[in-house]
Amino acid sequence: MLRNILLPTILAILAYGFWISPDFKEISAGVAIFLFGMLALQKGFATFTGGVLEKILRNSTDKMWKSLSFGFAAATLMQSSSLVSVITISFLSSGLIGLVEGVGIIFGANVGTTTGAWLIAGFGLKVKISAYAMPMLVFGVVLVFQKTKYLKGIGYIFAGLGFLFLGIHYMKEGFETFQNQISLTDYAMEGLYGILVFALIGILATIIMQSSHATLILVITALSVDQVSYANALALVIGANVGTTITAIMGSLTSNTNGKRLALSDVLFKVAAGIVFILLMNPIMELVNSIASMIGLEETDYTLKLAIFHTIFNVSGVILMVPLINPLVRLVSNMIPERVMPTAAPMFLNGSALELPDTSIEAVRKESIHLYDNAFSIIAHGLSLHRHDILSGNDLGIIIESNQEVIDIDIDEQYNINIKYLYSEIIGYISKAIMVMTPEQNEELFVLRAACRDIVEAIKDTKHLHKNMSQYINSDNEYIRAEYNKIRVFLGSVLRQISEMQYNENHPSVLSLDTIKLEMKENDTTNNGQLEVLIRSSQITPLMATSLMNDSAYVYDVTKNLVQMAEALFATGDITTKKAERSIMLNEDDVDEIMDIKEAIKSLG
Amino acid sequence: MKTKKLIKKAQQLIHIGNNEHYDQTVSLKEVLKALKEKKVLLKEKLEQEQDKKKIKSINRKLEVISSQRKKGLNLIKKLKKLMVTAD
Repeated sequence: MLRNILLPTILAILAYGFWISPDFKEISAGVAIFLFGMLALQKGFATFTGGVLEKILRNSTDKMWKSLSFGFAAATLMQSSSLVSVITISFLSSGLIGLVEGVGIIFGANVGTTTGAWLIAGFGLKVKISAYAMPMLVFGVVLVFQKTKYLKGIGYIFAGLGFLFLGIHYMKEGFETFQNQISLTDYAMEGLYGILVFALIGILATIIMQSSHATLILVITALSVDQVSYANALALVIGANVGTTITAIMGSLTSNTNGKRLALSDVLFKVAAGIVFILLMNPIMELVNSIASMIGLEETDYTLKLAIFHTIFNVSGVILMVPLINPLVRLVSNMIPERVMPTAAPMFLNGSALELPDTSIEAVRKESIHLYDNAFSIIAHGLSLHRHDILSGNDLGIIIESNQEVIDIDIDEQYNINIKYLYSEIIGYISKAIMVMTPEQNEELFVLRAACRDIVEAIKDTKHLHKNMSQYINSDNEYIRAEYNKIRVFLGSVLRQISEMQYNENHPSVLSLDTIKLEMKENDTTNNGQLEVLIRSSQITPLMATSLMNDSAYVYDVTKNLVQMAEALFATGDITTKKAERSIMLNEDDVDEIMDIKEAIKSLG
Repeated sequence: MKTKKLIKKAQQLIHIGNNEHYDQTVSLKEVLKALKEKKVLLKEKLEQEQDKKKIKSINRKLEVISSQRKKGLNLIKKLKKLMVTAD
């Protein structure tokens, strides 16, 4: 209920905000573009998973000193620790690096960013990488349209970076009104209270200006005209350092758990370093003064003193925190636990039954049926059929004609939740159980294992089938719609026949499944001439015909796998009876023979 | 020598011994018997059925059963031959 009203409420609030404030609209658009940039960046880096980039990154970050150096070099080149942070979050989200390596890069970037303070203080130089945003966007989009996978990946990375900068640009524009209202003299105060207030102003100013370097320039200007005291200016620098984490926090919004953990590590690191420096403000000021006099700086050369402070702040913060990286990683992992997907767990695989061959075979059989039950829903929904419709005795043709609604299902996700873990547990159990069995019992387990594989294969083929089926069952072309509905009726009836075998007390023998094999041959549109008729009479397009041909092959495979599975799982009686039944089941040649006889009778009649 | 052979034949006839082929034959015969019963029932059903769709479905089942029975009978023949040559 709450979930249903949450999204419309958020959209309504945003719409109202856009209506009353153009600045709010600009800031929100900036955030949206920034997040879109993050998505593009992650998609771009995901292209390189398992490739050269992953190898380079692994080799460049496999030791802590390498991670730190990597972060330092990257931030020095890019002149933005925030940008390094968001790129690192993208690496993490794409699985290119681990969390410990990510934290190392971010720590290194914090040291690398101090070079910016020296450039500003020493040469008044400000490297503006954002100047490359527009070209990056253009090159990125051009590359995205290329066919090569890696060029496309590079395109997404460029476009992502371009959008990040564009987003930041819009946020800055939107915040400009607030920026002009910042007058540092209004808050001038002495002592610890003053330091805390200015640290807070530093955080806010950096969030507003989206750049710690911009805050640094503001502080230097304020210092030169005596708007703030030296101590308060240092507090502003500490605040700016904490405020700069906002970019990483925003970047982590679209990332996975590890990306969020990395952003939290960045915040914790900077807040902890900030608190330590605020508490030790006086001794540190003395240290800065003595270093300044050692290198021959004048007493009032506050700009270079700020650069010294900024460097001490970040370097000592990193020196203090590096030995604590592993506890920090543990802490953030506990604070942001991995979202555990509720996966289907085994119900019958009892470890103590492993010593009793017949009991363990029965356990595997029951668990395999459990696996099939889970698969049943996935396959049914993949065909846009409801479980209750299949299990009912109603005519499937009528049910399908009256309901063309496509069931929205992510088969990959459902497979991961309901099948993958269960399947692996069954396979693991079988490999243990096999140790104490006779060859005949082993054969029974192999049959069950093959049945589980058939279930998984049936799901995978349903996934392929689902793509075109979702499109064509609502098509304006009645002929293609009818063909896909025929497929739904057929596969629905296969599931129904298997259910009858599974649930009815006096269920039919597995031999009755051979009827499905014959029906499958009769209904094969590709071979029974129906497809030719449809194409020749232009009732369906060649594109539809190729889809239908491919999907007929999937239908054939799904059916074959389901029948094989049912033969193994629902056969009753002792091993010799099962063996006898299996020996007279119809194979492909037998079914072809029946078809030939039917054809011969037809041609005679 | 003749007596020994005779005893072996007699054992098989009165179902003594643990012959794999023999067990398989017995199981097959049971399965085929069940199929024959099913066939009779389906034929009765077919005579009363009016619905074209259902007639088609019953005919399909009958064709399958005939083919399975044919396969089973051939297998029994082969097994019997194997049992005789093993003697």
